[in-house]
Amino acid sequence: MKNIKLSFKVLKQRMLIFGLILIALFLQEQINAESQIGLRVLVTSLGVDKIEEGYEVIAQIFTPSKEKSAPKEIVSEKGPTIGAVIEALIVKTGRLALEDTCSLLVFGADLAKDNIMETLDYFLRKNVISWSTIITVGEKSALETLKGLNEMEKVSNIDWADFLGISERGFDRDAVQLREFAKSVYGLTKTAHCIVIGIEDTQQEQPSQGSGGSGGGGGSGGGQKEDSQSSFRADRQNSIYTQSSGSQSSGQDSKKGQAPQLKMHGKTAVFIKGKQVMELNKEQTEGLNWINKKAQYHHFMLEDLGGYYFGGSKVTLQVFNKNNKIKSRFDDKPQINFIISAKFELVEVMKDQIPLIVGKNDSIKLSEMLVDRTKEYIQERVKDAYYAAAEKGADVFNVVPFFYKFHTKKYNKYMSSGRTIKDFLNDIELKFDLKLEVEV
Amino acid sequence: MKKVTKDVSMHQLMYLLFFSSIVHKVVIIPSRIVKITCRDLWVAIAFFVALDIFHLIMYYIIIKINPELTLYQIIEKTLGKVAAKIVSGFLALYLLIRVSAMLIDYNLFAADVLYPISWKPVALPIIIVSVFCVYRGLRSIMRILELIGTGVAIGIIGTMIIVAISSDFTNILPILESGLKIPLNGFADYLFFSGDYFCILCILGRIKVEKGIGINMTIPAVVSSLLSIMFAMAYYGFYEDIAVFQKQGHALSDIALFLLGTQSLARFDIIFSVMWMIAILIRILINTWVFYNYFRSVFGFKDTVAQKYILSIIVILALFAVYNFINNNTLLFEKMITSDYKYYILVPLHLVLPIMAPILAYIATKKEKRRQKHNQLFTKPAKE
Repeated sequence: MKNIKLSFKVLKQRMLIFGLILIALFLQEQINAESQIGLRVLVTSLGVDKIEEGYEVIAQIFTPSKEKSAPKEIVSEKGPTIGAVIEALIVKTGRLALEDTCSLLVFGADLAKDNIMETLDYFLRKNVISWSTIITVGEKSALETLKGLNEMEKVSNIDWADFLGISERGFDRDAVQLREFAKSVYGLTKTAHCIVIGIEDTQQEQPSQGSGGSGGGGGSGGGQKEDSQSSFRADRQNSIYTQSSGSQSSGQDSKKGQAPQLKMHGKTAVFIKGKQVMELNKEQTEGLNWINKKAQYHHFMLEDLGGYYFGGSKVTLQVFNKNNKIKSRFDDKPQINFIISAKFELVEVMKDQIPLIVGKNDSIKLSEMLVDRTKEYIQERVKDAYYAAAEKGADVFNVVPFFYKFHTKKYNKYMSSGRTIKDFLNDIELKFDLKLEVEV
Repeated sequence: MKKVTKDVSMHQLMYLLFFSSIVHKVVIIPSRIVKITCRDLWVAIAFFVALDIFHLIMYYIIIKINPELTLYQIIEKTLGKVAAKIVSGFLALYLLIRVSAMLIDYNLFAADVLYPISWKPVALPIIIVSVFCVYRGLRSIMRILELIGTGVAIGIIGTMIIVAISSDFTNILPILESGLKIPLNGFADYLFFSGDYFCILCILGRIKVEKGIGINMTIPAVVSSLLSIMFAMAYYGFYEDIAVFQKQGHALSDIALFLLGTQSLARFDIIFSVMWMIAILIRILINTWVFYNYFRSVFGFKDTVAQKYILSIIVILALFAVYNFINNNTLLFEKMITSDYKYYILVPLHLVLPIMAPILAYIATKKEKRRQKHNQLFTKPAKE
């Protein structure tokens, strides 16, 4: 104890020296950054497509310059292996490209359906991009997705770096980082999932002025030029970052004159052993996020509530806070218990005539009514996602490892009888322990 | 007998024990042996910890038997000068390889967490600075340790807490599903990196022994051991099977970044990484001192300025040469330290020597007492 006290005494006495050492370290960092910035190119997004020759890798790059608003550019390269292509791509930029600034990795739709394992192996083994990079699958090719994205960024202040920050907490998308994605791919059930994004290529009625011009063509780096025919034409006033359901986004006429839009239909791509086997729809993605600890921001609508107050209305609730837990049991049958404790707030009642509650304090009764309906709603969504995935043998909630970790003998016995993960998933009995509160 | 100076205070010994134990077990060993042990990584680390604790108990016994004797003196008094020189030479060679390997690990760590460039040119300045510190004496090294010790220790413990709260510890289940063999293999394969308290054996006789030495040695040893095992659990818990893709250094940096939520803001993890880099440097310093001293004992260099200069130059050249050799032959080195031949060197070093040392210390002390008694018999009493 005496010596520990002495340690802090010495620290106190020498705090100045210790502080100076730390400052010196950061000063060094700053000096380096200043002097070397002109030599660097920052890779902000990467995309990979499967092509006949092998792979096409697309990079969205940012070249630091003294000009205030240097646009980001798209460069691409083709080749037989990912490593060779990325090396050629970096050489083409003419500067030292830093891949660890990459915040988004897009797999083209074709690659996802083929197999992403080779690609993933490179990114993990080489460790070139941060393991916190968000993984996505494009609705079309990665090239088209990144081109559209680049155009979108030119006419709006939305940056993909922002996307990383906001995505993880939403219920309407399944934002997964490279670390988690890879863990799942190499995990017990080899099931991984990630967000599906698309860029809507809208045709404009009139050619707009100053739509980004040559910047997007991968010009300076010598990369492939952007195809001028697939015109992502946009103007600053009309740039929109949307999230729409499939049906809402289908009408081309309504989007004429708009900038390229980021489509987020709430779809989730599900992979088994690196191959995309299915897509979860918006409702199923929501179900997935009810069990995701990170997901916190959500509004959802309840219908057919009945009663004198809510009868015939649509009620919107907002998640105030939410905690999750999964517990497993393996007696005769495997059993999973989803424990959710959450608080909600009633934010909207959509009805022609909403009665005022005069002299009648029945908020507890109304709250209970909403709790019961919310329980049904959550169970419906979670079960929908679970069984849709289980049908394909995909463990999207990552519940099988619970049995392996906590009921190893029984699990091994079960699996040694020749049954598969798919059988196991279908045998699991789902239980819900929902502790909900709704503030009316 | 030449009296050695008491260069290490109890307070400094605590730092030494803490830093000696934790650095390798967190930065160097996990990323190497996780490929063998997977989820039982922490069991393998527990073996390293157990060996360290065993060593520490042996060294404590030596201190209790006779706190005045150095290892060289213990062997010289019991087995003779030639044996003392052979053991010292053996130790010097081992430390030479170990310091060179540490320099490579330092470079790899820096490349992983700071800039992915070659840090090779940095090795020579580090060696020169280390040898300069050694030239100034053990007391100077200990003062450096004392000066930056608390700050660095707080940084290290901070990293550990961050790691602990982030990880899913249930991922290490089921424990020892394939038995003890796999973690034992991991431990045995990288036995070269064990024996973190070896430096304590080499500074015996120079520690200023005070009351409560037992508890003062136990606290840092227990804290660093628990933190090391906890990190191993958290490391696998955080990365699971993809831990095999992790490069050393990346783990700490990546976990810190993830937890601080600063991926898109700034590299706050650098501050933690720098603390670890300082901790590795401290280990390099201490081990360079040990190598320098045993080299001096083997070749009988004297304490004159000229001879110290010559010795320093030889040590710098030797370290740089071995560092370059290992750096250019990484696979050969890996093969050497993991081959079965390693047991011929490491078993005597990590098992026979620590067991024999207290016995030899006991015999040496007996001899010393007998000699003193004998001297008293033939010494005339002073005139009153």
